[in-house]
Amino acid sequence: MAAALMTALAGATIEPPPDVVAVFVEGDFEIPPLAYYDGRGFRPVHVAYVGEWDVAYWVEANAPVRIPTWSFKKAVIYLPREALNAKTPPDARGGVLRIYLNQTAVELAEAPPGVVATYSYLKPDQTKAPKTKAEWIKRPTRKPLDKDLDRGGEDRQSSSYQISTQSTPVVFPSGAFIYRQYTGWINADDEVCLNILMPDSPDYAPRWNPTVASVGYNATYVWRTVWYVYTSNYSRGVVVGRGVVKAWAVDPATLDKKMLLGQWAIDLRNGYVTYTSSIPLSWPDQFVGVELCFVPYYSGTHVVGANATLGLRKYAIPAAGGAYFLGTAPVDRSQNVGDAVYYYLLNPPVRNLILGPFSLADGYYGEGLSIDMTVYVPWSAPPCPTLTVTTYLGEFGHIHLDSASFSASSYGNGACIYEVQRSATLSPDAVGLWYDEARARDKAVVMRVSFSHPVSEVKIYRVDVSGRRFAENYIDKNVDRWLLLVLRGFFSQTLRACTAASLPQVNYTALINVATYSLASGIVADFLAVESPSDYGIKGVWFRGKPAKTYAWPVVVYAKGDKFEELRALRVNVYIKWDKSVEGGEYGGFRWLPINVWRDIFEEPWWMTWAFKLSQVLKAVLDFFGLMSGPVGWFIDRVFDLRDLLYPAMTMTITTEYVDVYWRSGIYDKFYQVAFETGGSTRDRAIEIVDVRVGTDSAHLCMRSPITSPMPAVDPNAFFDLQYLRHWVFGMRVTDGVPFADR
Amino acid sequence: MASRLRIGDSVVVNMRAGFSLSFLFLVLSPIVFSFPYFVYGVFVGLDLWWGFRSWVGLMGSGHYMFLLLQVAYYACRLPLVYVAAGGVVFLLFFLSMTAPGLVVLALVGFFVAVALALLFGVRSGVFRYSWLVAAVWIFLWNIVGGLLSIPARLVFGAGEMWLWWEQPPAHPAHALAVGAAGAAATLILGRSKTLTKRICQAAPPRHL
Repeated sequence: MAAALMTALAGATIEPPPDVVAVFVEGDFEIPPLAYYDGRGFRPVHVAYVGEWDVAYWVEANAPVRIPTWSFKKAVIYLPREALNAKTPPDARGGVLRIYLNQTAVELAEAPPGVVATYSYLKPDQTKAPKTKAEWIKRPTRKPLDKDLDRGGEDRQSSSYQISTQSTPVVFPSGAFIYRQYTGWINADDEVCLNILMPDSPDYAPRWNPTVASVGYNATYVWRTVWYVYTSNYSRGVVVGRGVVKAWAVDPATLDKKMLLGQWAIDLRNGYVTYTSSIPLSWPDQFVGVELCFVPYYSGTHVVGANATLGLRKYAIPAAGGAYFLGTAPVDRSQNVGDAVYYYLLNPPVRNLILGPFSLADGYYGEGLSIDMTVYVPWSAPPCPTLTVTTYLGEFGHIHLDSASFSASSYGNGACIYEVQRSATLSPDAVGLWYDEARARDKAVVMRVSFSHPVSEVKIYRVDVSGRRFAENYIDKNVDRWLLLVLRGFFSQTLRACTAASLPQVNYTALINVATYSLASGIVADFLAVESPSDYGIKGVWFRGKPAKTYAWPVVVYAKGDKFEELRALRVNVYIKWDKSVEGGEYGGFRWLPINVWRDIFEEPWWMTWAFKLSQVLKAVLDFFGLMSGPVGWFIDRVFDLRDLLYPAMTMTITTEYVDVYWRSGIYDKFYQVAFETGGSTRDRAIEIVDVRVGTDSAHLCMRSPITSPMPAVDPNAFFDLQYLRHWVFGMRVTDGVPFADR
Repeated sequence: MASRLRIGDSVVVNMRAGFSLSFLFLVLSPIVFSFPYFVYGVFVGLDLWWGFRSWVGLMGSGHYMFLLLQVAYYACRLPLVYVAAGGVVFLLFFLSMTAPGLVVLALVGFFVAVALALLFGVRSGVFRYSWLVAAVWIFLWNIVGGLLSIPARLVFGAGEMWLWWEQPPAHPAHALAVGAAGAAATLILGRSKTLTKRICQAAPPRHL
C-alpha cells in the first residue's frame, strides 16, 4: 500500500518527505489545525490547504483573471508513518477527523493549545496527492487558524478583557516584523538567528544588527510566523532543519536580551513556506522581544527567510471616544486672520489623507481591504465638498486601483458628514508569499481620502479597516522609496509611567496625537505637531532630527494656550550644548540658531520685572561681575530658576549624528497643542520622537518608546496637494495605577 | 555662675575642646546646604505638585540655615529664634510656587534669609555691631567661596534647563561642593580680626 501511495505521489508538485504519507482530504467543514495522539501526547501534523480557481476582475488591466481562493475544506494532510493507526483518546476536546487509508484508519484531533501546528497553501494545480475518504466523527469546533486570524482570532482573544465603554470599533494594527533573508553556509546544528529588516538608509538604522524584534508589553501572541527555507542539496519537501521562535524578556531601553521566556521549534521543509500560529506571549508584565532562528540538520548552503506577525491586546481608548482625529484640533478660521500664516503652517488645508500602507500579512490572492467610516468635515455652509476615496497599490503607490466619490450624506452643526464604505481588491499579480521586504512593498495598499476643496480639518469617527491589515513596522521607513504620504492608522501603545522602574500601570489614560509633516511651497520646513485631546496638558516634548546636517535652521515653537486659544509663536529660554566634535571640521559653518529669548514677549508685572532686574545687578556685584559665582550667587541662581519655571524652555544638543531638542512648558502652562518648525531639506531625514510628556497637577505621563518618523525629501515640483506631507498620527496611551494585564 | 537657659539663648559653648560645637556648625553647613538636592526625588515622587512646593520651601530654608551656620561658627552659638525664623523663609519659598505672580516671594525669601543671617551676626557682635562690616563680609565671603568652587563649576557646568519633574535644578554633588567652598571661605575670613570678632574666643556671649 505504501509503495502504491508513493507511486501516486511521485508526480505531485510538492513531494512529502519519505517518512510521511500525503493524503488529499475534502470535507464539509473547514479543517482546523490537526494533531495525532502517539500514546503519550499530541503531535502536530502539517496541513496544506488546497485552493480553487476563481474569477476576479482586475481593474488595472481591465480584464477578468483567474485567481485561487481557499475554502479550507480541501487540504493535503501530511501524516507521519508513525501516525498511522493513531487513535484519539475519548476525552480529546474538539473535532476528530478519521481518515481511511485502505485497511487502516487514522484519527486526527484538533490541535490542542500548546501544540504548534504548521500549515501552508497549495494552488489547485499543485495537488497530486491521492484523495482518500475522511469523515468528521466529531465536528470541529475551531475554524482553520488562517480564517480567524484577521478578526475572529483577535476578537476571541480579546473578548474577555474588552471593556464595555468601547462604543465603536477601534482599529488596532497588529505589528509585524520582517526578518532579513539569510543566504550562506550553515553547519549542521548551528543556529542562525535572522536579523530584523532595517531601513535602507545608514542614517536611520542602528549600527548593530538586532535579531530581536521589539514587541513591547502588549502583544498577546505571535499569531503567525512564516518561514521559508531552501537548499539545493535536498529535494523539496524534505525536513532540512527547524525554525525556532524565541520570546525574550528584553530591556526596553537597549533591547538587550535579559531572559529567555520561551521557545518553540517547528520542522521546516525544503522549498516551501511553513506557517505557525497562535504562539502565546503570555508575559504582559515583560517587555518582550521575538527572535527567529534556524537550525539546519545538515551542513550546506541555505536560504532562510521569515517574518512574524503579532496579535496585540485590544484596549478601548476612552479619551478618544471612538473618534479619530486626522488633523489637528478644531480651529475657527475666522478667528485666525491675524495668524493666518501660523494657522496654515499648523493646519495645512487637508486635501489628502493617506491611510495605510496596509499590507497583506502574507501571500494571499484576491485579498480584500475595506474601509467603513464616518467622516466629519467642519464646513461653513452647504454645498459640501465631494469626498473621494482612491486606492493605490504597489511599492510606490503607483498603481491606481480604483476610486469612488461620495457626496455628503448630511449637513449639521457646521459639519459635512460622509458615510464612506469602500472596499478594494488587491491586484492579482501582487501575489505570492513574501518573506522579504520587496514583496511586502509590492502588496502594500494605500487609500487616499481627498476632497474637492481644501478643508481645514477632518475628523473620522468609527473607522473600521478590515482585511488583512497590519501596520508593518519597517515597511514605510525606507524613505527614499515612499514618496507618497503615510498617514498611518491610529496607533495605541501601552507605555510606561514616568518613573522608569515601574511597569506600565494604568489608571489614567491619555491620548496624544503626534503628526509630522513637511512643507515645500513657499518655505521649506518640517513640522512636528503634538496634540493632547484630553485634559492632560503637554508638559514636554523631546525629539531628534537626523542626520544633524540636514537640520541647520532654527527651531520655532508654536503653542495653543488652551484648546481654543489662538495659536501663537512661542519664544522660549534656550540652552544650547555643542558636542565638541561638531565644532569646526566638516561641520564648520553648521548652525542651529535658537530663536529669541522670552523676556521680550512674556508679560510680567513691572514690579516683578524690576525686582528680578535688581537682584540680577546684586548678583553681578556679589559674584564680581559673574566671574566667581559663590554661595550667595548660587542662592540667587535658584531663585531665578524658579522664575524660569514659569516659562517654556528648550535645550538643544548638537552632535555629529543628530540634533536633540528637549522642550518643556512653563510650570503653569496648559498647552494642548504644540508644534515645532525646523528647517526642511531636500534630503531624506527623520524626526525621532523620543518622549512626549503630558500631565496634570497631580500626575505626569510619559511616552518612552521612541518613534521614528521618516521625512521624505519633498519634491517642490510636485502637485500642490502633495506638498503638505503628513506622515504620522500616533495615538499614545499612558496608564498608571492599575495593572493592565487583567483589564 | 548659675544661669537659666531660656529659649533664644545659646546652646552649649565649649571652645576648649579640640572639636568644638562651633566647628561642628561649620562642618554640618554644607550638608544642610546640599541635603535638599539629594532628596529631591523623594519629594517630587511623594506628590508631584505639593511635594515640589515643599521641596522649594526646604531648599530656601536650607540655604538660609547654611548662611546662619556660617555666622553661628563665628558666634559659637545658634539661637533657636533664628532657627525658627527659617520657617518664615520656608513659607515664603513654598508660597512662591503656588501661583504664577507669587514667584517674587522667592526673591523676598532670599533677601529675608540674607538679612536675618546678617542680623544675627550684627546683633551677636560678630560683625562688631556694624551692618557695613556685615555687607563687606558677605561680599568677600561670596567671592572667596566662588573662587574655591570654580573647580566644581567646571565639572558640573551651568545653564542647563531644569526638568523640574525629574531632577533638582542643580546636581547634588555640585551643591555639596559649593557648600563646602562656602564653609572654607568662612574659615578663611574668620582669621581676619577686622572682619569678624570671634566672640567665643575673645569674650563670653553677651547675655552671659
